[in-house]
Amino acid sequence: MTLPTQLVLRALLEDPARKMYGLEIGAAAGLQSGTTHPILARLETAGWVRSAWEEIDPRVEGRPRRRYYWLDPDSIAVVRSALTRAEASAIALYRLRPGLAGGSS
Amino acid sequence: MTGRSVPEGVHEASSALERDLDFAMVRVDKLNLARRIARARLRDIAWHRGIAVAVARDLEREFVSRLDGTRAAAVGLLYTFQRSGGSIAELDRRWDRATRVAQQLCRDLDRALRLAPACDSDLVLEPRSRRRKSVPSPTAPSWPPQPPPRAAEPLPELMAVAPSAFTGFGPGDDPSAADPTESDSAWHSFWDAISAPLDVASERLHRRLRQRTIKQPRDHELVGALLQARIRAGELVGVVVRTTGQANRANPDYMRAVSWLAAWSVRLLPHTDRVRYRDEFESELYELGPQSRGRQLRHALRLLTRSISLRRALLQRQRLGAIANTRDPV
Repeated sequence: MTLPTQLVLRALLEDPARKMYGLEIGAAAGLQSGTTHPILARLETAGWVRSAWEEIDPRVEGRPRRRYYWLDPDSIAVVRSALTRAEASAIALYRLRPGLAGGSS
Repeated sequence: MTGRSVPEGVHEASSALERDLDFAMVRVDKLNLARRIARARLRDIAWHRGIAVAVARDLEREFVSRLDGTRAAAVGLLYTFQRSGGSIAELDRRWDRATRVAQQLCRDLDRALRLAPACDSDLVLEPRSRRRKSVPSPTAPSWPPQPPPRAAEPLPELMAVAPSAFTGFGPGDDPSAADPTESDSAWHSFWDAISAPLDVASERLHRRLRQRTIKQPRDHELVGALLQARIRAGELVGVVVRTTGQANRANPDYMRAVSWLAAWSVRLLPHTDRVRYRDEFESELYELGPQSRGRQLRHALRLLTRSISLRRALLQRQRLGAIANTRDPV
């Protein structure tokens, strides 16, 4: 699992019940805008993330609909364990080869 | 000399062998022919495959080169906009000046408004278009009965026009947020509303000045105030028209660049997902809009550069979906 994917998942895991749109997720994960879409598409393919259009009338609200993303409730446990595994493997790799695994020098 | 007799059955066997050999030769010929045909077909297949590979490579090369070109153009546009930051500052400066002039104009009109009641009642401000052609005699009734003559437009009504024009496209507003067409029409109606009555008032005042009928010093002050307001209104409209003209020139370029980048980001995606991501990108660009143009442009550029990895992710999803459908026909 790549580091940006982990960041996106952690941002969604902070409040699993909360629905967030792309820009919000990018801001919460500390990623540049526009980089979250491929990650979210892959997570949707894996079935970990769900998405839906905001249920508003754009003419009444005066703004376009947002596409909201949230963690699939059945996948939260899987996501947590995957993040734990990713963290453990990164730590193990860092112990083996200091300087790798995104570690500091 | 005794001749050995040929055993019985040899002739039959020999002829059978010859027949078999002939048959075998024919088969061999046919086999060779089939082999030649097969080789030719293999060559054809290889040729077609080579063509397909070449076409695919060409397509890929074209796709990559187009993407490179698009990206380079997008980066160039971004640099252009960064360089043109000075023109945006110029717009701001002009809006500041327009604000100051508008405030002075309001003060001038206020002054005229204070002075007008104290002066002659003839000093009402009536637009040329509303002036009556002929005043009927009160003793001679006309037929059909005419509606009562409309009251001339005094200064308070004029003052009521000005705020509506300001709210339509105020100097404090962001010119990029307003619809240039609406704002232009608002300023033109403002100009029509303010210039015509001031012209009429100035004309009447000048006429009275020529006839030396103005004697009170307040009348002179009013003449000065109205002339000043007239000049100020002209200055204000001039500043605003120049500023809106510049804003109108800058705004479409910027909007066109953002929409162009977003459109290309969507065009690079698989056909089935284009509508969804077009709406999603539009929504995000709208969210970024009020913050700054730079962020909107950077976001659009990043959407374009990331659209290849998004395309890959979406194609993978489609492939997995197709596999799942094959395995589970339900």
